[in-house]
Amino acid sequence: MDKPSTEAHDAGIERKAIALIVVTVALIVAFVLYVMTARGLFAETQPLVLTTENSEGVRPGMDLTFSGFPVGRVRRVELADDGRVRVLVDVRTRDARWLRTSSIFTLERGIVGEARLRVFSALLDDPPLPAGEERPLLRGDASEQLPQVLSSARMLVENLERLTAQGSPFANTLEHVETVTGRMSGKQGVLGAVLGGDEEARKLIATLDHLNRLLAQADQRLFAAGGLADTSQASLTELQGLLVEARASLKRADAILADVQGASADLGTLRTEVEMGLRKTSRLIDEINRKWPFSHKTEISPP
Amino acid sequence: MSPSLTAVARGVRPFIEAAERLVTAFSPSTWTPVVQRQISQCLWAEARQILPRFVLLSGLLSLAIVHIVVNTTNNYGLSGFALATVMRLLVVELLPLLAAVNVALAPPGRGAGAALVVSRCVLVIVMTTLSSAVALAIAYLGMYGLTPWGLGIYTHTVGQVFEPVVLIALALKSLLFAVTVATLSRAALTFGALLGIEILLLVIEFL
Repeated sequence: MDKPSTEAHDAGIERKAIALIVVTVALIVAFVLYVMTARGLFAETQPLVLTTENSEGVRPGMDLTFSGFPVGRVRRVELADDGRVRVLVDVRTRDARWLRTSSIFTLERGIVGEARLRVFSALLDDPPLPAGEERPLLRGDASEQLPQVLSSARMLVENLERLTAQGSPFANTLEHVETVTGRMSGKQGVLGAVLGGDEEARKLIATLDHLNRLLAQADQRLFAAGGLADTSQASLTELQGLLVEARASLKRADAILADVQGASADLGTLRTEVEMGLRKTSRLIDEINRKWPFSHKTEISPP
Repeated sequence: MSPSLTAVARGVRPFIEAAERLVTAFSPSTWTPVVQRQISQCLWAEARQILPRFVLLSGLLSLAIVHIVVNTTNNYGLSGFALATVMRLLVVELLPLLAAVNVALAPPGRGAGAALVVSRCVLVIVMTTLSSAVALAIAYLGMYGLTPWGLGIYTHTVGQVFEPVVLIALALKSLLFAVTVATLSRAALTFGALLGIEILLLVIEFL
């Protein structure tokens, strides 16, 4: 191979090697820029301060999510002078519209997985949350309730043990239930179990048979042809006729009473005249008494 | 010199030689036009030999891992962690180590001395970068398929996984792997050093 062609070949290889390096550097620079964008270095943010009593589960870099979408990132966690924990969050300005004055911030810790910082905005018509605002962070920690759950479970197991122990009320009840079910499986079935024995059940059954016979006899006396029911029906019909007649009699009595009422108006005049006659007669008798030989001296003598 | 000191000196010697090679390779006086041409030739020759095969294999490996992780997390109701797991497993841990091991196992190219050191250094970083890019693309496709609607949550996950500490650790790891592979001549020492760097950076990340 002559010298110029060797030089051209070398130059070609050199260009390819440089191209490889340039592609690699470009990829590295692009990746670093992509990571910086992904970490929100070029995004405008507004601060938000969340206060809570315990910083467990909160770490710088964790997301603040709204409806599952990350809207902010924890920048720093610090202890305030009053002993409360301050969580400083950078909220992306374009996502700040999801944060309202009525929004609620929660930190949820499951038994598995890391804690989740969430914001709930039920009223999106409320005024937007101003930048730098301080809000309480509510904690919902499943693992914090574990000791309580374990204690309750232990109490439950102890109660169960007490219930199922030999001679416990529950065990006695079960024994009674067993006795009753044993009776129920006897000849007289449930009746024997309820009445306390087969003898009593037999008595009850005999009583019922007797009652049935009585009912049959009563049925015959009452509802057979010429029975009490028929007789009562006839009596009722007769009674109805009597009532009609009584009603007519009453009407007549009413008429008589009306006549008597008319006659009683003349009685007043008659009475006055009779009284006047009586008075005149009385005066006449008095006059006769004053005449001799009927007169007598009237005197009052002391006793 | 006592026997123990001699043993220590013998043990340290490869590292001192490696340091000498590194210093020589990255001294400005070494970078003559001839050496630059040698670096290009050496880099291209090795890249042509290893790179396509490695990118293809790492792509297949990524596909398998993404499939396993996505399916398993779906079955256990933990699909929210699938993407972050895949990114951490492939891009942060596995692919840089695989790239370094591949370059270490490849026979040396035509160049020698400084050209070989620099070209191998660059090749490790090139392979790590390209395979990681392929793995990230496969992770997106494996998770969301051919739809652009997963891009938002994907970007968010990338932001969560690649925190500043993780990014610095990844860059440092790739550089140390590249330097180790390029300068240490004995294979056993190279793998030992790679393992040491991996453990060291894991400890730093955890701290």
